[in-house]
Amino acid sequence: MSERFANYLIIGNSAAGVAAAERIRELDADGSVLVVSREPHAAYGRPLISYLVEGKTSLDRLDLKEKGFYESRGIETLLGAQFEVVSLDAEAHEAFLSCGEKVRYGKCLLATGSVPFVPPIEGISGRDNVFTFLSLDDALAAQAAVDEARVCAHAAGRACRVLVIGGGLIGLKAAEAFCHHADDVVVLELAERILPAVLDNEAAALLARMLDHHGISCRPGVSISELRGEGPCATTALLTTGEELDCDVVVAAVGVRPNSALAVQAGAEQGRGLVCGPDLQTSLPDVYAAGDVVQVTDVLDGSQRPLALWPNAVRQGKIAGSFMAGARDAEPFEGGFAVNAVDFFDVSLLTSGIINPSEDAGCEVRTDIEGNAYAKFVTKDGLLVGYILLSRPENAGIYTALIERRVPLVALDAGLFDRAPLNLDFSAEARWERLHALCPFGRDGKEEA
Amino acid sequence: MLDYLLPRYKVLRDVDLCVKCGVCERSCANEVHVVDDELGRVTADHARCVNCQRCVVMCPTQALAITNWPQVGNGSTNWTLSAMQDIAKQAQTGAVLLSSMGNPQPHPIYWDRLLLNASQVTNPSIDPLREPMETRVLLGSRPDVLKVNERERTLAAKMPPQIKLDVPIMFSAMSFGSVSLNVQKSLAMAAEELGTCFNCGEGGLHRDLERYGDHAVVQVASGRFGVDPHYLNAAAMIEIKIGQGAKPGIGGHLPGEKIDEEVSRTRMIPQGTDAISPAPHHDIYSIEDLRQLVFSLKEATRYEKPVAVKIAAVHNVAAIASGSARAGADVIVVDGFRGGTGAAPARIRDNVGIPIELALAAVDQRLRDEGIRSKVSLVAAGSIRNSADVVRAVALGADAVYVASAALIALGCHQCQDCASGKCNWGIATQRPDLARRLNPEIGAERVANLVRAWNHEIQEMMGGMGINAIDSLRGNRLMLRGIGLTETELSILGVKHAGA
Amino acid sequence: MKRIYAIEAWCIDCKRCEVACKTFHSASRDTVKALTLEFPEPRNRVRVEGDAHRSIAVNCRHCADPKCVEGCISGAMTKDPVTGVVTSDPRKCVGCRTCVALCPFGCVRVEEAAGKEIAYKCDLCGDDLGQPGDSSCVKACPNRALVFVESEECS
Repeated sequence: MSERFANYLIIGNSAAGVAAAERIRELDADGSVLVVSREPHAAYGRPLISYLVEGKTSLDRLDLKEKGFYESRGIETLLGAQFEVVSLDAEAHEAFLSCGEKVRYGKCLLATGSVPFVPPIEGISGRDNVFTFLSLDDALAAQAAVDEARVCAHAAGRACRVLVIGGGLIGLKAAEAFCHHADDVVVLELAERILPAVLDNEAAALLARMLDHHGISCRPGVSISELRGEGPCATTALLTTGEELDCDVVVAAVGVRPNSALAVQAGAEQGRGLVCGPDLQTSLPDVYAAGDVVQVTDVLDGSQRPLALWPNAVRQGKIAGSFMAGARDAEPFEGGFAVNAVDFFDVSLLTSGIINPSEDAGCEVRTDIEGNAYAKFVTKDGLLVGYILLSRPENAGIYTALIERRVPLVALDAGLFDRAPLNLDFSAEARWERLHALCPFGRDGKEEA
Repeated sequence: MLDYLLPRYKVLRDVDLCVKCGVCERSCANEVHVVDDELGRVTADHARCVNCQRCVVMCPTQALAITNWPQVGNGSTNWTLSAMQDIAKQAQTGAVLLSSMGNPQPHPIYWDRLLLNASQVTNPSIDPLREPMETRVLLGSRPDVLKVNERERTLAAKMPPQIKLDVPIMFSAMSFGSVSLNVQKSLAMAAEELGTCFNCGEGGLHRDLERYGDHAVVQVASGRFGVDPHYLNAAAMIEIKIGQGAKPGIGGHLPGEKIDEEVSRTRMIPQGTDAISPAPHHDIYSIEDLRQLVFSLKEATRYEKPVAVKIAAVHNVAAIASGSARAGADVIVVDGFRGGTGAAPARIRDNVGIPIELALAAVDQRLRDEGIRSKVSLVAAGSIRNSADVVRAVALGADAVYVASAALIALGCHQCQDCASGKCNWGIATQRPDLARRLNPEIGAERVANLVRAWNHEIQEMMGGMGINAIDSLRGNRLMLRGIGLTETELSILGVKHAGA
Repeated sequence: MKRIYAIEAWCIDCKRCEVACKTFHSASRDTVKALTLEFPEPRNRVRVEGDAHRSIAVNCRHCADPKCVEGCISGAMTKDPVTGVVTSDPRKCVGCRTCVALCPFGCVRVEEAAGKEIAYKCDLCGDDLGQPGDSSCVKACPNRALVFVESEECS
């Protein structure tokens, strides 16, 4: 059995893994860095898969990093199914690949991301036309299937329909992507509205209406009780309403779960994700974690859950990398909060923080509808804690910064929520502080010591 | 009532170049330009234009120019269009015509009739790039006799107070109120950089300018705004303002709306009240009275600072200057009738006073004749336009000159003569914060310092050409001047020969 | 690296910086052509907030640790490791607006260009991604309200 050694073993080659590898190399020029992944591709923008299917980008533009990224930094890679890490011995500092190879490591990072959760629907398993939508290979396979189904359907003189189970971000992006390939896309969402986690009823209704113009019909409050069809393909869905709906391809996008089985088997403590300290070390010695697998404290409501978002993964990757490389001044990971940006056709949707506060949470809510634009702001104790901005994206990051930095709203211009926020909404002193980071002179024009 | 007035100017907009960016609209406090989205072009309200040329300079595509309103007069050289416009204006308002800046009338400019000398063969010229060329000037009284303790190599008697200027050019009085603080800051910073003085005018010394006190001349005028011992002692020199070339015999009036918090604090008067400078000093009705004020100020500053008296160039200027010298003035400033102002009755500005060239020559001669020229220094003011004017002024007898209009032009002033409106688009003659902001003193100081440095180079070149290596040797050296196209009377007053003679 | 800083006290709301920015980021780099002929109209990266009474020209801070780069899902937004300049590669950008949601200064915008929506932001007038150039806005400012000065990089 062959064996190799790496000072740093990084399991997973996406946002968190790559960020960690890059950071480690910045801090440690000599230590060997090995990235292993079961996906055979160089790191790519995972959320781009819907844009790829839609035709807004292409395979040659998918790479997250520039050409030669790994080589130029001396980062070794083992990419492909045969290199999937199948078990981990934290005590011995050893990982075993599916090809049988053993990797001894100094420190190890679990950046294994999420796995799609396939709902326990009767007749769903073993179908050739049921796909998930989380990886590039998923997307390419689903696209090929839809294209083929469309040809068959048109030859038979009928419309081609894609059925998406789950009206969350992934489901809706898949719906948008496939509406360019199929004639009809139906999204079924168990909850009372689409995007239940990031929208309120009002915004969800607005968005659903806009999606409808593009041939995507959203059916909130509806799910599938059974998929039927002779042979390997599901051809009809029996809905919880009792309706039957024909379908050519089914995309299951009801949610994701942290891909933490490897760590859990090795004995790592798991909550709703891997439990990590502020240095992102798991309960196992020298085993760190970053990205979707980690259980994060939501700084806004104190809840503990994975924060399966790209920026969070990159940030955790950097932090974990810093600690793994032994940076003494590394900034600890203290938690985070959700920031989502997503676009559907010409509609932009930005959301952050607490969006649907419970009645007793002591939050104040203000909403603003103008034409197709919808804005909702949730404040608590004089601080902004969440927003929804539908087709009103301008300067949204200023709102995000208000949430993140807990800026008391009383110090800001009162018009802040009536229009796009401005730097001028801050006091002159605060504005200077914000806009003049690293500036060699002070507000009085004098050189800073 | 229908307004019979015609616009003075017309905005020419090259529609091929206009990109409708709106820079002109945002640049104009007179609200001439409007980007009209309905029309899809930029329109102009020509009647509002004062020809300050801010928009012309700011336009990113040079699409703008200002021209005269194309209306012709009736051909009369007597009832000109402008003469009739003045009447129309007064018939409309019943008010005194107000204007600003210096006398624009086509009176003779004697500077342009005075030619400079240069050495040939004998008394060879000097190359200022290779040899020292002194332009330093000391202002103040000089003792009749210099007593020296030769053993200790020290002065035996105390010298009267003097100020040292590295260049023979100072910035004349412009008060905070008439100009923005940023103008004063620009001039103060430039003065410090150049080793010369600025003059804070009669509106007090703003606290931000106290750090430039070593380069400040502070004024005591008929309104006595901002005057207290702290003010007097903060400065390098004190100037009693008797008169101003642009409006001899006239006081000043800064309307209450320009007296904001800062102006109020600096002038030591309540916010919003009119600041009225009486025509005379009500405690000066004679040379003896003037002497009392001169010595009061000297007492207040322990005889450590020279005291200047500034008078407007009027008919009997030589006698007034002589009297001022005898009243104890260390420096006499003579301000000619082309000197600028922030606001003056147009008839006064255009018709009262005499040219600085004649006044300066007369004063210098009178003081020499009376044997008291060395008792005082002489500063000429009232439209010094370039370095050659400085050289002529010194050759006519000035120790140094004051410039104001030229410095303002360096700061952006385009001499539109609309200072009194308070809407100066260049941020100069205004207290409106949005307009005053347009003058960044850092840029202003650089531009003014550049100007004076350039002039000083030219002065050195001209002196070198004359074979003179110190400006002291040029002072009153009228042999270096020749008149051209001047009458015998003019030549005799100027004390120069005609060219060729 | 050299950064552009806005000095609010001297901003006079003339927006010459915006015009100059549009001109530089046009096909012709000629103000008249850029603002009258080109479609879509070139977009300015620097933006003057406010009015005549209070204004400030805001553009990308080229942060030491830029959130827009951290959040970019496509790898289009990058900070050049040598120059420190943060730029977005229009070829790779898909216009998701994560950068818009993360930039604390409102300095990234997503608009349609060449048939798709892409992020655009201050690139310090470089001719190539990540390479600083001669800042047009700073040169166009009549009152030194924008300065381009060396500032510490502390990433």
